[in-house]
This record gives sequence, C-alpha cells and structure tokens, in this order.
Amino acid sequence: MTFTQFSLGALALLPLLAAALTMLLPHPVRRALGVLVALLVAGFTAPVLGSVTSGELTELVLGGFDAPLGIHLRGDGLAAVFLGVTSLVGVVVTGYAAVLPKSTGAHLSATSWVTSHPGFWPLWLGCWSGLNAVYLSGDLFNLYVSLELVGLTAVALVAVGGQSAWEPALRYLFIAVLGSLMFLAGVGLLAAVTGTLDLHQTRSQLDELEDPTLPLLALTLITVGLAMKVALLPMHRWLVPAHSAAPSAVSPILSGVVIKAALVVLLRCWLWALPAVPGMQWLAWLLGGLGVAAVLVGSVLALRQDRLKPLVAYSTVAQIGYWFVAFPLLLHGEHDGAPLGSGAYNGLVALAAGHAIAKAGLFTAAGFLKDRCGTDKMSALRGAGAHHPVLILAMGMCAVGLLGLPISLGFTGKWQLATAAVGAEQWWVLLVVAAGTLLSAAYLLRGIAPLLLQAEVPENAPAAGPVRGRERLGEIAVLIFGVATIGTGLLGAWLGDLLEVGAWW
Amino acid sequence: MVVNDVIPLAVVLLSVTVAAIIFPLPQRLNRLRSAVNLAGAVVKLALVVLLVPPVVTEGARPEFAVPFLPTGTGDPISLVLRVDPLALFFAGLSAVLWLLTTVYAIGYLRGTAYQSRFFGFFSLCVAATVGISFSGNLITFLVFYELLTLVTYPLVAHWGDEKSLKAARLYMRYALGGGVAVLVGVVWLTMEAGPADFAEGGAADVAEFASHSPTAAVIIFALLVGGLGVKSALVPLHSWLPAAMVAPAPVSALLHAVAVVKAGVFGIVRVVDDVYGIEVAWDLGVLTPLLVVASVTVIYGSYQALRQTEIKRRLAFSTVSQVSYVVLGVTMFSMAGTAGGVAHLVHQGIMKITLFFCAGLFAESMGAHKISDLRGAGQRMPWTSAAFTVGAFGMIGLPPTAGFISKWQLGLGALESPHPWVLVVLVVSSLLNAAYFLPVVYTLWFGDQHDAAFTSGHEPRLLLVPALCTAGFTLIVGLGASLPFSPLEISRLIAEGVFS
Repeated sequence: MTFTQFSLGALALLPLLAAALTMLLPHPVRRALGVLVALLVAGFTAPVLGSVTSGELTELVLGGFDAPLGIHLRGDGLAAVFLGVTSLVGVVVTGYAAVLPKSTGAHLSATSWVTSHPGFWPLWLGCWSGLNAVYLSGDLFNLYVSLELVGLTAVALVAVGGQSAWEPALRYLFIAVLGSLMFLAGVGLLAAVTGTLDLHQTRSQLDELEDPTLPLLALTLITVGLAMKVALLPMHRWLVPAHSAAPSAVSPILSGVVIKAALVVLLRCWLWALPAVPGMQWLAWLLGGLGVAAVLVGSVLALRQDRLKPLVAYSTVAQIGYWFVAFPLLLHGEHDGAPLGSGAYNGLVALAAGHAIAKAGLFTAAGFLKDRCGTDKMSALRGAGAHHPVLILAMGMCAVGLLGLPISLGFTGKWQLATAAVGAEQWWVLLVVAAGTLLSAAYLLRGIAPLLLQAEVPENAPAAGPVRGRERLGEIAVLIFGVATIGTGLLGAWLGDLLEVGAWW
Repeated sequence: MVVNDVIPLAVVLLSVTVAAIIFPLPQRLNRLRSAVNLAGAVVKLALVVLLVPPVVTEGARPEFAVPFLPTGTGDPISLVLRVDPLALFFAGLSAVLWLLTTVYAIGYLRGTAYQSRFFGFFSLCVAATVGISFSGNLITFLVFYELLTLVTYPLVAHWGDEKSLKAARLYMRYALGGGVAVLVGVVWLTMEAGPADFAEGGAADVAEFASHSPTAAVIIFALLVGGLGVKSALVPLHSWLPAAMVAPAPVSALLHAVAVVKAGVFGIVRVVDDVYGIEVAWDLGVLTPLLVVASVTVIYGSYQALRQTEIKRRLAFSTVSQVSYVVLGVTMFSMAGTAGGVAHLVHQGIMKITLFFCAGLFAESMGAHKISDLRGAGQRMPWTSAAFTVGAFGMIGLPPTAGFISKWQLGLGALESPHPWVLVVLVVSSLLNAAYFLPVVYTLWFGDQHDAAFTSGHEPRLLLVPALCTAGFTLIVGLGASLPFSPLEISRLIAEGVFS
C-alpha cells in the first residue's frame, strides 16, 4: 500500500476515530485535538492532490475484498478537487471555532444558556469524515452511508445553536431523511436490476439493459432525493432557517461544503453510474429550468432580506441554481471537436468549488458580526465597517467570487458554463448568467454597503469597539477565505487538468 | 530580451505589492505610507521608461503569459501581458499621472481618516489600469477591466456618507451592467474565433469569422462596444460620471484622466483596431454608427457642461464630451484621424487632470464649489488660476496647447476620411468648449473680488506642484508635438500599424 493509498483510507477514517475520541475528552482538549486532526487531514489531502495532478488515479480496496463486495475508495479528479476545498474550509473553520469557542453554539448549563457547545467537536469531525468518504466512494452503498453520516451530523450541528435553532434543525432533519430515503429507493432499484453497487459495474450492466424505464425511474428518485438535500428550488425552504440559525462556525460548513456532498453524489450518479438513457434529457431540462428559477427567485428573495445571515443563505439558494443550469449542457455532444459536456462539467465543478470558499468566508463574516454585535439586522450593523476594515475587505473579496467576477473560481466556472452554452447554442444560459450576476451584485452590495457608512456609527453599539485579541484572529480567518477566493481564480487551468483524471468521458 | 518579458508583470505586481504593504499600515504612519507610495510610483515610472527604447525603436514585444482558463481541448486560454506601442503609450500616461496624483492625494487627504484604505485601493486601481494597458488578449483585458470596477467602488464611496454610497452604487450598477455585456461578447467571440490575441491590424481569426458570419460579428461588436461605452461615458450611458463627482478630488482626477473613463475608451480602440481591425470593422459597417454616437456625445456633453454651475459637474460633462474625441478619431477611418484620436488619449488625460487638480485646490483653499465662487481667485491663487487657464485653453483647443494638436490632427483626419462632416462637429464642439470654459477663466482673472468669508487663498505646495507639472506638460506636448517620442509621433506610429 503506497502512502497515497494510505491517505485515502486515513481521510475517511481518521476524522471518524477522532470524533469518537473527542467524546471522551473535556472541552479544551477537544479544541486542541480538533485543530490537530484538521491539520492532519489537510496533510493527507496533499498526496492525493499531488498524485491526481501527475495524472494518476489512486484506488484503495479496503480489506482486500474487490467490488462488488468490498469497500472501494477512488481518488479521482472530482474527489481531489472537493477534498482540497473541504480541507481548506475545514482547517480555517476549525481554527476559527478553536479560537472563538462562542461560535460553536450554546448549551444549557444548570439553569442558564452558556455560549460555546462542546458537542460541536465530535459532530464536526464526524461530518468531515462523512464528507471525505462521499468524495472518495466508488460504490452506491458507501455513497449512501457517508451521505447519511453527513446529513445527520449536519442536522445536529444546526441544533447546537441553542433553542432558536431547534425548529430549523427539525425541519432539516425531515428533509434530510426524506431525501436519503428516496435516494436509497433509487439505489435499491438499480441494485435489483444490476446486482451490483459499484459505480462502474452498474454502468456496464445498465449498458446492456434493453428497457430504459427502470434506470430512468431510479435516476428520477435519486435526483429528487438529492435535489432536496442540495436545496434546489422549490425544495429550498429548509435551507434558509437552518443555515442562518446555525452557530457561526457551523453555517460556513453547511453552506460551504455540506450541500456540495449531495451535489457530488448527484454527479456520480448522473455521470458515472448511469449511461445515457433515453428520457434523461427531460430530467436534465427540468433541472435546468429549476436552476434558472433558483438563480432568479433566490436572488430576488436575497434582495428582500433585512438580516445578514438570511441574505447570505438566500444567496446560496441562488448560487445552487447555476449548478443545475449546467445539467442540460452536460449531456450535449461535441462542438468543433470540443466535448461540450466536459466544459459544462468543468464549469459546474469550478462554480461549486468557488462557492464553497467564498460562501464559507461570507458566512463566517456574517456570523462574526452577529456574535460581536448581538444581532445581524442590517440596520443595526450600519457603520460596523469603521471598526472592521479587514473584515469588510475580506467580505468584498468573497463577494467577488460569488459575483463571478475575475479573478475567482466563480468567474472560471461562469466562463466555462457560458462557452459551453454558446457551443451548444443555448443562448438562454448567457441571459441567466448575466441576470444572475447583476442580481447578485445588487444583493451583495445591499448587504455590504451599509457597513461602509461612516457618518453614523452608533456610539454605544457593541460594534463600535475596535477588534482586539482573539477576535482579530477571527477576522484573519475571513481574510484567508477572501484571499483564497481570489487566489484559486488563477488555478482554473489546473482544475481542468485535475478533472480529466478518472473522468466519466 | 528575457529581462524585458518580466517587466510587464513586474509593473502590475509592483502596484499590487504597494497596496498589500499599505493596507495593514496603521493610520498614524503617514510618512512611511507616503514613502512607500512614492517609491512605488517612481519605480513604476522607471520600469515603463525602460520599455520605451526596445518597444518603440527596436520593435520588440515583451510578453508574459500564464495559463488561466481550460478550454476542454488543446491549450488553455492564457492571461497575456504584452507590450506594444499602444500599450506602452497608455501605461506611460498612467505611470506619469499616478506619480503626480499620489503627491496630490497625499497633500489633499492630510489629516483625514482611512488613508491606508484609500491609498491601498488607489494602488490597486493603478494596478488594474496598467493591467488593462498591457493586456494581450480580450480575456486578460476583461479580467483587469472588472478588477478596475471593483477597486474604484471604495474610492468613489470613500467619504462614507449616504450621497457617496448612492453615487458609488449607481456607478457599480452601470459598470457591472457594461461588464456583463463585455463578458457575453468576449465569451461569444472566444467560442467562435479563439481567444482573440490583440494584433496590429486586427486578429486573423476574427477577420475570418467576420467574413463568414457577419451578423454575429456585428452583434458581438455591439456588445463589446456597448459594454465599454458605459465606462467611456458614451451618451446615453454616461449618467454615472457626473454623479461620481462626490468622490475625493484626486479620485475624480484619476478616474477622468487615466483610469475608468480612459479604460473604456482604450478598450474601444483595442476592439476596433486590434481585435476586429479597422478594415474589417469598416466592411462590417459598424464604424459609422459608432462615429455618429461619438459625435452626439461630443455635442451633448458640451451642451450639458454649459448648463452646469458647479465646477466639478461642468468638468464631468466636459469629460463626457472630450473622451469621445478619441472614439471619433478611431472610427472616422483615416490614418490621421486614428493618430489624432490616440494622441488625444494622452492629451485629454494631462489637460483634464490639471483642471481637476485646480478644482480641488479651489475647493480646499477657498471653499469654492460653484463657478461664481471663483471671482477674483486669480489674485489670491495666481498659480492655480494660471494652471487652470492652461488646462481650459487646452480643452478649447487653442495653440500652443496639447488640445490644439489633437483637434488639428482630428480635423486633418476628418478631411481625409469618408466623413468630412465630422469637421463641423469639431468646430461646433470647440465653440461650445469656449463658451463654457472662457467665462470661468474670465471669472478667475477679471471677476470682482468675492467679498465672502473665504479669504485664505493659500496654495498648499503638495497640491500645487502636480497641477503646475501637468499644466507644463500641456504646453510642452503642444509645443514639441513633432519631436521624437512625443505623444503625437507615437500615435502616428500606432496609426501606421493599424492601417498596415
């Protein structure tokens, strides 16, 4: 077993073991252990990224049982990209939570509510383990199990936010379980036909199948279930309360990476597990239509918020739309010898990865302001920029990514989506991209501009004090996200090379 | 030539580095901040000057490229920085004016809050402008063009009051709308004709694409120029510019003379001359409509300027009008016209920045915002008034200023071109220019002493020296127009490249 193969296993299992271990430890030790594990996970991500960069696909068969029986981990391009992004977001958020424990929620101690929640640590590490397993899984059953782990820990992570977060967490739980059940039903159907759960074997088995109805039915179930978990409009209603009521250290994880897990599973099913079956186009067009609606409706709803965290959450709803706009293009053939599907796929992944970093930054910033000022009402945050220049600068950089302006992965993604659309002569995509960009500019400006007002900083507002000590480190976390948003924009060409490795085409 | 290849990147990174150093500096370290700023500006100017001999006389084209966007097949699209004479021309302008504006801004903002933020974004703004000038293809241009939009937002909103934020929001709305149009145009063109590397005389792939699908080529041209027209304030896309006057004076000076407005016009010159190529654009029939729009802008801007009573607003509408001379020049389809338009890119920059420097001085020292406040300023602030007069004469086009050279050259171009009626536009516009600038000059020197409380009339040296420098340039460039390396000579060289 090479070190890279060992890393694959460690990425999935190390956080899980650490999660179990933290449950036995007192709170301060949990924080130290959490940071250590985060750094280790990032360390194990590096060899995987390295081997994918050199064009190698790393595979690990746990326990020596080959497919269809054993657990099969595959470190391909898609996995590498999301492992990288998740490590970045994970390390920064872990550091943030360790430095500012009050961002980890609130718990009832004796008779009063205390900020900080020790439960955050095992839950977050468990969630991280699930995320890594989702990216690496090579078969449908493991995808299901890891996604379930992600979903349940994510629900619990919302609930550590205290009493006000319980109801959103409950709604989230219903959706997560319902989505998982539909996914499981779809997977069951597929397994009944093919007799295997391995992605590649499923595909080759289905290729020989004459009747397309069953795979199509299974795909529909899987898609609807996962679209619920990704929060595609009109199944987005759970996301906004859950993501905005979650503690400051949790919202960036949820919006940044947790919904991407469901997206990755969706891509695995659409592109790896199933061959092109007739009727799939209709489903893709439906998703595309819902994507357009999400971009427009999500943006307009974001514009109408008067609190910062819901605004950022609705922005997620809008951004999710872009990923689905790419779906009809995924199935397109060629244009002048360039495969359009791969262009749209590259664009989709770049958009999702860029969103993960930028949105994690923006949610961290919003949570930071909420924790400091006791509210995230935008009218109360006017002039907060006076004492948070670094934070505002960092928020601006993250906003660049969400807007899809250069230099950011958001721009790279939009560019590829738009070029694929022009190649496929789907001009409406250009309109959606243009409208989405302008709308997102409007709501981001609405969120950030009032912070810049200098004339009227309320004298006694908590925001009026300069940032000191540990909180300065919290600002640095947001700044890292901001710089990463811009910096990753230069990696677009590299991202394209990564995705070539183990691609479905 | 290996060393030269790195210079374009170095110039861009230099300004970014200056910004990165300045942002975290605490407010009280005024001297250090000024030192870093000035050192950056001087080094940048030196680097640009280093490029002049190889590029202009030896015909070298230093180039730096880095892969940026994957294309699915084949080579990825690159970010390309390449120095050709036009790039160097624009970069030279920004390097000189950045140095002077930095001096001015240090004096202007002395003692105010948030200076580190201001100078940080100021440097980023210059980085974006240099990036725009060195861009070797449309994608690189787009990247820096959008960057410019973003980093000027905090500068326009600098004072942080409702009015500034409103103006900044309006600016953002216009600029992003234009940016989206450019993006769509660039995506489409790239898909049809490849990444469209700028080439003197037009890109071959674009010419081929235009020959077999002219309709699409026209639509793309409209998208590109329409988007760029927002920043260059072509009527009816100009309303953000007068509103953005709430920004601090050095910002207005920079926006009008080198950065935002000029970036838009520079982009139009690039699209017409180096992407499509003037011949192809002429065959497509897109030049004449653009010429008409530019003519309308020239006249309308002057007319609106005449109606303003505030100094800065009058100057703003004057910019609307003057910048379109450049578009006028490059679209009239004659070599002399192109040379005149390109030369005006620089001429307008130094004249307009003089006027804004002076307007800032009047406002700071005498509290004068309206033209009527300027009565008798000539006696109290003689140097400022003299500089303003030179700038105003330049705008009217009186010899021996730079403005005269531009208008003369444009007039020649109009006579050579298929559109001699443009001469009428030039004459009418010059009369209007005279009608709104001469009264100001008259008020300055011959108006009765204003008896209100603004008595000080002190001329701070940090503000005055840059204004005198640019006023001096206005005269030197006008008198020395036929010397080697003068703006006019370099623009003739560029025009020859365009028509080769």
